[in-house]
Amino acid sequence: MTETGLIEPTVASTHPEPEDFGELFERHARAIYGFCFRRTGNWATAEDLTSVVFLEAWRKRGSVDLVREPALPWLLGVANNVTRNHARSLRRHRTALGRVPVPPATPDFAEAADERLDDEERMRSIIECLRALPRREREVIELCTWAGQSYEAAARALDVPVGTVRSRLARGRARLQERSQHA
Amino acid sequence: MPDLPPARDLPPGRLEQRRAHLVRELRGPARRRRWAVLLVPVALVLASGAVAATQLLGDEEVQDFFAVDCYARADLTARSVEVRTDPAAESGDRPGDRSAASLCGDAFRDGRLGRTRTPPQLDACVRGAEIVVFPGTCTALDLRRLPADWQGNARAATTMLTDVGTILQECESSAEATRAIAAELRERGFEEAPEIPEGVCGRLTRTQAINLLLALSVESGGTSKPGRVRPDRLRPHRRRPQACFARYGRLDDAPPGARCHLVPEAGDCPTSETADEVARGTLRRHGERRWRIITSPPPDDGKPRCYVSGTVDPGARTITLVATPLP
Repeated sequence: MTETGLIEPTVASTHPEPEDFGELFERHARAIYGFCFRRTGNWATAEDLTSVVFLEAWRKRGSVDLVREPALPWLLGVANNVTRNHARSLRRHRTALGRVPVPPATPDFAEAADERLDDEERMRSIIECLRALPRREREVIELCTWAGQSYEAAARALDVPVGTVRSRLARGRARLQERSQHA
Repeated sequence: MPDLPPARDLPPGRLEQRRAHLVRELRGPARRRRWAVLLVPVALVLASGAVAATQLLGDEEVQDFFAVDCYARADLTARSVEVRTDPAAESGDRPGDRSAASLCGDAFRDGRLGRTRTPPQLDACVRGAEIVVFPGTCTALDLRRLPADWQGNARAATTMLTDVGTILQECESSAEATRAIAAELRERGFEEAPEIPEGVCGRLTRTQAINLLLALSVESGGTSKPGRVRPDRLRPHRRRPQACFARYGRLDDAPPGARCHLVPEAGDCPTSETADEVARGTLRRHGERRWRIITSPPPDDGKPRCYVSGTVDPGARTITLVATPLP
């Protein structure tokens, strides 16, 4: 989906309704879920954080023009803040998360459980490797390389100039390369 | 470094479930807020009784009146850290009395808010039920400033809620709880108290008891959580100074630390210059002699204050007149 394709009539209002956010959730939950997983290395936590990102986004909806601006970079920006201290974010929304219904029994999902556990193990070791980078460089790698965002979109998510994204990304990649050579 | 795990969808059924949950939550606060109504000094009845009360209660942590969110920039999406002042910590001669801005200044100095180690000019503001501190001014973000007496008010509210919450935990009937809480609040200078709904006595955890009192006693202030208090609403409820002579007969019989009313007429406002004379006149009228009167210096903030009452120390036979701000 192109970025302009994200601006759809459902949120083409300066005063979005809860149902509009429901649509936004349906469209971007997968991307946010993936982003939160790559930050935490835990699928269950990522699922709760996905809800938290949209609850926070609702609170901050006045700060963005969803008619003119693509929603995903903004949502990733919110997700970036939410996952920086995810324990605190979850604590803040504990009551709301407590009202999420119990998951239905899903035999298919049970079969995929092993794969998900492998994912988590692998992701945690990647997160460990990435810890060697300064947070600013880590964030642009997560947005540009992993979440597939353009420089412009990452700049919007992080609220920094595009040039800053480019330079941080270059520095981060160089640092990772250097580390892998020494490893 | 291992390969990045593949992107995955939410588990089957969860997308729809989470979407429905989100929409419900976003619609919900306005409906719940209806119950979260006004004020400790205003008597309040939760008309729908225990059913409504249980809707209000969560086992969520009791609101932390001492938490402060510090932001790196004047922007709500900027990097932030949460700091908390320890109300029991000693700082000078007043416990834990540090301003929200100075707490956030520490976060800048520690490098928790980025590379700039020198704190910029910071302003403490109220945003819903939260205290937020930004570089710049609150007005730039269309927020109200945090009142300077936040710490003292927060301490008073915390103590009051804990003490009164205990009654709710231990009571056997709502009538008994209403009476006991009213007496406790009267003792603290409040004129009116909330009416406790049926069916909650003895069934509440400490957290639930305090959350119920908050819900019965405060305005939600536009926050999404019922019973959350806006920090600028944590006003100390004006204490009614105890009428010592009516209550104790003689000042010698008053307990140490009793705060006594020493102004003959309602509405009188003795200043530091006239307070001594007014207090002596009151004592003379009641046949009290040989009391030393000390006038406590007012805070150096230029605000007009009255000396309507004093703290009694029968052992030392002194009355320390205390400056209270004008209403």
